[in-house]
Amino acid sequence: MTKAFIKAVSYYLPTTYIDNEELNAIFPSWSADKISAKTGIFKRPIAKSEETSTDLAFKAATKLFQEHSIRVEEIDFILLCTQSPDYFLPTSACVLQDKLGIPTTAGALDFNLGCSGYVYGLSLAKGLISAGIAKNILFITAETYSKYIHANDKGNRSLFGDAAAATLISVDGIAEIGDFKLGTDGSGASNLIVRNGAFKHKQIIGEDEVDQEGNFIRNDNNLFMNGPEIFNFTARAVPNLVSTVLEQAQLTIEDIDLYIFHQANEYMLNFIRKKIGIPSEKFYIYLKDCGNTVSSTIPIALYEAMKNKIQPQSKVLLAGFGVGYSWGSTILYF
Amino acid sequence: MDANKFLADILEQFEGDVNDANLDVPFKSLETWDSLTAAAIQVKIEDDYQVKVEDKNIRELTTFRDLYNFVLENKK
Repeated sequence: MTKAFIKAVSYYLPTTYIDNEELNAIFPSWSADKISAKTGIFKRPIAKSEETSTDLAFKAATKLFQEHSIRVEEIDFILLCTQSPDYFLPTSACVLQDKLGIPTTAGALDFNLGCSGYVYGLSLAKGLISAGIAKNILFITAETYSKYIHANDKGNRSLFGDAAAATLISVDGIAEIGDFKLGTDGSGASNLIVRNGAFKHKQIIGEDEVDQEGNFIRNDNNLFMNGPEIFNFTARAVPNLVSTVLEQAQLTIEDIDLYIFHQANEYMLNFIRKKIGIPSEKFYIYLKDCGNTVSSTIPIALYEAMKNKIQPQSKVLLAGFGVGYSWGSTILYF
Repeated sequence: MDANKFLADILEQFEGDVNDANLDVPFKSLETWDSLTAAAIQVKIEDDYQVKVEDKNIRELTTFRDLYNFVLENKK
């Protein structure tokens, strides 16, 4: 069976940001210090109103090709993970094939996952390579959650940033992609959701729900996240996910050189880290300047960690988890 | 059950300066208290003390001592 490798990673962030001081000015009761202490985030890139996930994906892919001297002719498959596509149809991956000038002989598809999306994409790419269907897969994660978030939703505005990341997965490269553990629990679907707009609730117009003090709670037209429930899910699912992927690989916690989890927020990450028993020096956090960029947090952190934290022979455990609920983990062997 | 160990376990879920907190401090009055802190405390207590603390318990309890006594009473 042909082995699959990550060959190159790049990412793109929109050039406009919202920082903690701006959030503080909009929500005076929301202190900048408190935001950064809790989330570890100081600023979040936000796509311009006319800038879509496909635009970000195009820029991330172009950067990947330039940074790593990759020729578009080499690409024989495009996988694109997004929950904020340009259209209901066609698929963003098809639009990108043409925009990027990738050969028409390439396969292309989108898949709809959030924070588990990077690990799932690696698993799909590995499957395509192992089956001999493709040799050079352009895998893009691209998200503009900011377009789903209500202007008065200070919690989600403090967390999420827009971004795209591009990864080349090939028959050779810098890190072999190991075995996977994946999981799903759709009973948590309503805890992280944009309820209205697609066909289940197409005609329903959402109204703002506020608490007794007039603080925004939710509007079904917008992104809703039940933070405590997501915290509970994560605290339960992720330690088990990590132990099963380690067991499958016949490795221990100590054998892993670096852990890169979905960068949800620093508070939750540290809670899970301590629960699992991972030393802080082996636990990579990269949130400060980009926030939670959904499916792009892992490749962004991976790109940054490859500058100084990851060496040849490093074993890096990736874990993604969130909306669905959906989760997945694998180990990269550098 | 050691009250000081319990207090240390719970204070670990807060960020920032909580060194002067004691059992008689109302936990929801601390600067970094929010719904995520509540969720972290609930998971911590269920994992380490095998007591399920519901959202309504969090709403009803005031001080760290109230929380400690609740766990003490409900511990099997």
